[in-house]
Order: sequence, then C-alpha cells, then structure tokens
Amino acid sequence: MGLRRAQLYASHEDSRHKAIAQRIEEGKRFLISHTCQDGGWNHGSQKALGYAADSYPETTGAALLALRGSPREQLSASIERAKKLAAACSFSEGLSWLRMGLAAHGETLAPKPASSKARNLRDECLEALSAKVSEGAVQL
Amino acid sequence: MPEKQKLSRRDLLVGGVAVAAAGFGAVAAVSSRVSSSRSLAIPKPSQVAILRCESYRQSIYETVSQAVDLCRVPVAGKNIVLKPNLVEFEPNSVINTNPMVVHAALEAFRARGAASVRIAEGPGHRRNTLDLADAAGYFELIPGFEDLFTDLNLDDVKSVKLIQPKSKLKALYLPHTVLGADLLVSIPKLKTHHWVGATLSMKNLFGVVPGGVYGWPKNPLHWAGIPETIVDLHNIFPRQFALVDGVVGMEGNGPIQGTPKTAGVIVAGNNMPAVDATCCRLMQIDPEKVSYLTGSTVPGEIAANNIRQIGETIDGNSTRFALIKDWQDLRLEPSSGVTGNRG
Repeated sequence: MGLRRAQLYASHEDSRHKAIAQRIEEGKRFLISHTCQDGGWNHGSQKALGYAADSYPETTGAALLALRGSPREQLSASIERAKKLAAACSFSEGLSWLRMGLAAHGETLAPKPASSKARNLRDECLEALSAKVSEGAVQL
Repeated sequence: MPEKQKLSRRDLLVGGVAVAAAGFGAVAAVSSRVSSSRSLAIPKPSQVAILRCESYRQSIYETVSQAVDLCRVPVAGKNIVLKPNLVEFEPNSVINTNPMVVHAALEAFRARGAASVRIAEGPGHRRNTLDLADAAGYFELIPGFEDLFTDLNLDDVKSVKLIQPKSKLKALYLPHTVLGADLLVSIPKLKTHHWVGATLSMKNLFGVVPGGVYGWPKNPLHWAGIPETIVDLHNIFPRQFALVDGVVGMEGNGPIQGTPKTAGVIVAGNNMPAVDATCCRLMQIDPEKVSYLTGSTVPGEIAANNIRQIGETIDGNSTRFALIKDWQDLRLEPSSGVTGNRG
C-alpha cells in the first residue's frame, strides 16, 4: 500500500511537473511570438494596421526575465534593445525590470541614475530586488 | 454655408451671456438623463464653442476660461474630474493632451468655485501611469500633481450594469473616482485614429476603464466592439463636459504614430457627440461617417444644422488632417457645406 501510494505520488508529481514545464514552454513561445520589431516587448501588440509598435522598458525587462534559460543567440536583438532602453530610461520601475531582465542573461546594468526616483513602495521593492539580483545575491 | 465671422473677446463674452440659459438647460438636461434614455433628454441645438489658440503659452489659460464661461458649465460646489488623454512616453510628441490645457482647466474650475478638482487617467498601454504623466510634463507644469491625480487603472471599482448596451458587454467595472464625480470633463487631443477614424472626447472615455480589471491594452473593450463600447461608456456618465486640445493635433496614423498637425483651436461643449462632430468637421472629417458618433446619437444630433457654433466658425478654422488609406472615405470636402450652424 505504501509503495503504491508512493508510486502514484511519484507519477502525479511527474505529470504535474511535466504540465508545468509544458506551460512554461508555451509561455516562452508566446513571448517570443510577440516580440516587437525592435527586439523588445510592449503590451502585446507588435503592429497596428501594419505599422510596427515600439517596445517599453518595463515589459521588455519582465519578458527577458521570464525568458531566462533561453538560448542567448535567440535573444541577442532583445538584449541589445534592453540595453538601449536602459540608457534612455529615467524611471525607476522600467530600470528595475531591465536590470533584472538583463541579469537573467548575464548582463549587468550600471547603478541607477540619480534622476530615477522610486515613487511608491512597489518601486522601492523592485529597486531593492533588482539590486540584489544584479549583485548575484538573489539566484534567478 | 454660414458666413465666416470673427469675434472679439467682448463679442464672445456677450455671446456667452446670450446662450447662458440654453447652455445651462443643456447641462441640466444632460444631468438628468439616464444611461438608457439619452434620446429623451438631448436638447437641440447643442452649443459648441470653438476658440482660437495658436500655441501653448500663457494665453491658453484665458482661452480655456472663456470656453468654460461660454458653455456655462455648472461648477460651483461640484466635484469635478478632469480626464486627459495620456498614452505614451514621448516628451516631444503630440500624443498626449498638453498639460497646459489640463492645468488651465484645473484653474478655471477652481476659480469658479468647484468643491474639488481632480485629474484622473487610466492609460491603455502603459502601466506606470505616474511615470507617464511625468514624461508628458504634468509634474513639471501642475503644482502638487501627484496629490491631485488618481490612477484609474488602480482605483477602487464598482460594477455598473449597462442598460440597453450597444456593445457585447453587459456591465463594466468602473473606478469610484469617476462614478462619484459631479462632472466628468473629457480633455482629449484632436487626433485621427487608425481604428475608428477620429479620437476625441468620447473615445477618450476608454481611459476611465480600469486596466487593473481589464488588463492592458484593455482588449475586452476591443473585443466587445470599439465603436459600440465608446457609445456605452458615453451613456454611463450623465454629467459631462468636453474640452478638446486642438492647438496641435495629430493626423495620419493616430493616435500614436501619426504626425503633428497644427489646428490652433480649443473646442468645448456640454454635449460630447456635438463637440466631437464639430472637431471632425474642423479636421475635414465627416462625422456622419464615424460609426460611434452616428451610433451614439439621437437622429440629427450631430447634424451641422443642429449644432450652434459659439465663438469661431468651422469654415474659418478647419484644417485638412491627413487620413490613412483605410479612412479616405471619411473625408469631408469643405465644398460640401456641412460645416455647422452659426449660433
């Protein structure tokens, strides 16, 4: 009885992990298929009436973070776009997501500029988390 | 075709007094209407003010004040919510409502005894609304902006049942801030729009729908039918005022990727379809071919002869806004004579 339960548990765990892994892969494929022409990500529409839509810092950073473990060559344009967005971004939330997204692919952003200010507790938390991720103190 | 006329400021003020009773009546009637029965309450003709405003400079404060006075907006003791159009971080673009127009409205309503004036917006694309407002110049221009501002994407919400909806929606969750307002002031930019032809005071109401409930870019509204949802939203709010930033608008592939187009006008009125129809005519777009305008109105509501233009005329101030290929059939040729009725 004990063995049977262990076997069932093992198979359940196995299928649960498989299902999760499958969903993760679906999610990654979704993100890749919704990459903007410039390499980054926005709210989800790459085009409107045939015109390419630009990507945003926060969504690009979050998408890169979600795509950790994906082949770097598949994401080279996205990483370059993230660096460009970071260079132009003066807002705390966008920079925090970009910092974490780039860190997921081995890239480190310079410390945040003084002009970028956290507006609320969420921004503060994101800043603290992204700093830890960037330092390697938090494992992705 | 109405004769082109130019009015002095004094003429405008005298004219404002002349239309006072009618204007106030319009607001009172609009206030009493319910979401399902606009057709019972819309007065005819509606008044729409067109005022010249060549650039974003100090004189815009006086121009907006004149617009508020001309339209006899009931302000004293009211809780007013200003709803600008904030879309994207592009400091030098014309995507967003210019903050000077919003600040001018804020000051005009305060000076006329409003109990409170708040600014509120729920952008459809970007989640960090305060950063967006900062990039658009709102923090710099409007003192204490953060204390005056409500992010409608994150506000508390209440479910509102739609009575006789035009769209596929049965109800909408809407923010307390706008539902509790005595007067909702839509302050859009004068822009063409690649999906509905033109985006003005009615389409601007998409921004009151909370992203926190419907996500970004609020696709449930798109799936329910954009023109129909615009109409449903407009019908929810009984007390409205429209103040359109048409100083520099956007033509072509609006509302984001179009090009700046100077129109040099502020357009205002208590009846949003009438204001939007006037704006269309100013852009040389036929409002009777814009589906959310025809779908929103009682018969003849947006007809040129049912709108009294206060201040400047359409004929003397229309500017040909470029239209993308898909919307060429919206073009209103100036020679068609459908340009408005001189009030």
